[in-house]
Amino acid sequence: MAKIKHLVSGEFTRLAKYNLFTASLVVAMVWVVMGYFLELDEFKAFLPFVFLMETSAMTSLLVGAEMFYEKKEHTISSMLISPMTEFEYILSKILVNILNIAIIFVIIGASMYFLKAYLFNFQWLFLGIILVTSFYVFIGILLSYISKDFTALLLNYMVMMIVLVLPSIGVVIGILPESILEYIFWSPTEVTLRLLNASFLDSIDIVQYLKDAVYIVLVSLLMLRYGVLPYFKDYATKDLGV
Amino acid sequence: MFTVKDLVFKYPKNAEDTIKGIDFEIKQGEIFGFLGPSGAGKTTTQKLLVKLLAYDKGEIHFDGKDLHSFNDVFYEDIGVCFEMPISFSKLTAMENLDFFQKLYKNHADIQPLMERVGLWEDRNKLVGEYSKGMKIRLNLVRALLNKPKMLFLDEPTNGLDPKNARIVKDMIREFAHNGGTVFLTSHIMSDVDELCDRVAFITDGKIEEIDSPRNLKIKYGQRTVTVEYKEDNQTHVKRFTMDEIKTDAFAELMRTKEVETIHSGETTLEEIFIQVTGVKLHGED
Repeated sequence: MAKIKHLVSGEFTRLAKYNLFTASLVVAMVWVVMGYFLELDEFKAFLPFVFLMETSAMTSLLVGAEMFYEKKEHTISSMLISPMTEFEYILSKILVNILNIAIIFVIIGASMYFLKAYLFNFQWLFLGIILVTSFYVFIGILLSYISKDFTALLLNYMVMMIVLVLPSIGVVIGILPESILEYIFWSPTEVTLRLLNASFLDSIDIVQYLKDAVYIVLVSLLMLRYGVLPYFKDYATKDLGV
Repeated sequence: MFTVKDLVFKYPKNAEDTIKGIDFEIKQGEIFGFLGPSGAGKTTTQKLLVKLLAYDKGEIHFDGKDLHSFNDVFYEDIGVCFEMPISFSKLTAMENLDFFQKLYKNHADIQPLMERVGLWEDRNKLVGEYSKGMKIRLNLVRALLNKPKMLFLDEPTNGLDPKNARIVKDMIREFAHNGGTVFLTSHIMSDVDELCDRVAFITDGKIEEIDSPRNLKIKYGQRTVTVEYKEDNQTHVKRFTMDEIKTDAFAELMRTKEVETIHSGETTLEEIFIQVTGVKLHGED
């Protein structure tokens, strides 16, 4: 546990030093400013978009960028020859991103409370974050596996956005018809939306919530088992002299 | 410390084995040089020894136990000094060392190590502002952070000026003198000759030679003495076998001629490298 705590603290320090946390905060401030100018109902309609962008797009990009830096500076290899497992390394990334998203959502939530006297249901929100973050951390890791350089990472990220995130966002912002929802019902981003939206909906379909929770956790575990872990050492040590 | 028996390794995408049944032993307290041209299997062998690659065929024993039986605790006992910089560039040297050191149970005192490699004054500088030589020296401190029993060093003096290369070599020698074991790879044959108790040459996944540099020089060298002397304002060269130097002809030459140089036929590790691996060191492959 002490090691995980140390890894998480180290990750946070690096997020700050490499200005990745600042970038994340700047995006949060954009949502806050939007919240200031929009009416409460308008912002509530916009919230799913904010949730999805923060949990999926920002998390994948942050993890991809971190992995890129760690690979480029060979620090990932240096960690691999330390007494820690790949799982501990990945777990620390998940925990840091859960905390990062939680901080961002607390900022957005607090601003909504002070600006519009509106309060999220933070228990549901945090539960949702905990359930979905691993999936997008793994997406970020897999993106870094298949990207030769930072340009390729950004291109792959764009493809991921178009395939995975845009259909859901399209429906949220009204540029795609709601009829496509039946086709993307089990898309991880739709599942993410349903889990996070529980924090501001008046009533929650508990059965569907449980199904969604089990589904996203299972998909994440499968990604970890068959996608992330098997290729981790290979990725980390590919350009290593030793 | 390490025993390797009939080790075979193939990368999944390759048709051929990269390591083709190698055997060697690294004794406790020795500095073991592992030499070979690029692509010979040197790097793969090191990755197998430090558990960065998993092997299926053959055996590797560390401290008498099968390497497979070790979990991440294995890394408490080893230190790896990479050839390339391995620090977070936007953290200071001390922040880097502090982060890595806290992953271990055993902690070396950082200050004397940093002072020794001449980085203590720059400890609070961002590593991104360090020169290449400074980053390489920091790598050595990183490798020694956990008071390891065994050090893996990859080109430890590459990119260092002669003064700092001397400091690093002294530290390696002291580490071994104090009971530590070293696995060293380098293309700087004078360093290998100076430091290593034994060396192994690997070519095309097979070990071609293992012995002390001295024995290898005797094996591959010529048992001759070449004398250059001046006569009639010209330099002449005469070669004697080791048996011939006991004869009067050699003594006569020494006594009567103006001798300029005397060279034994001992070869260099560089020559042996070329002979054994068939590859020149500069512009190899």
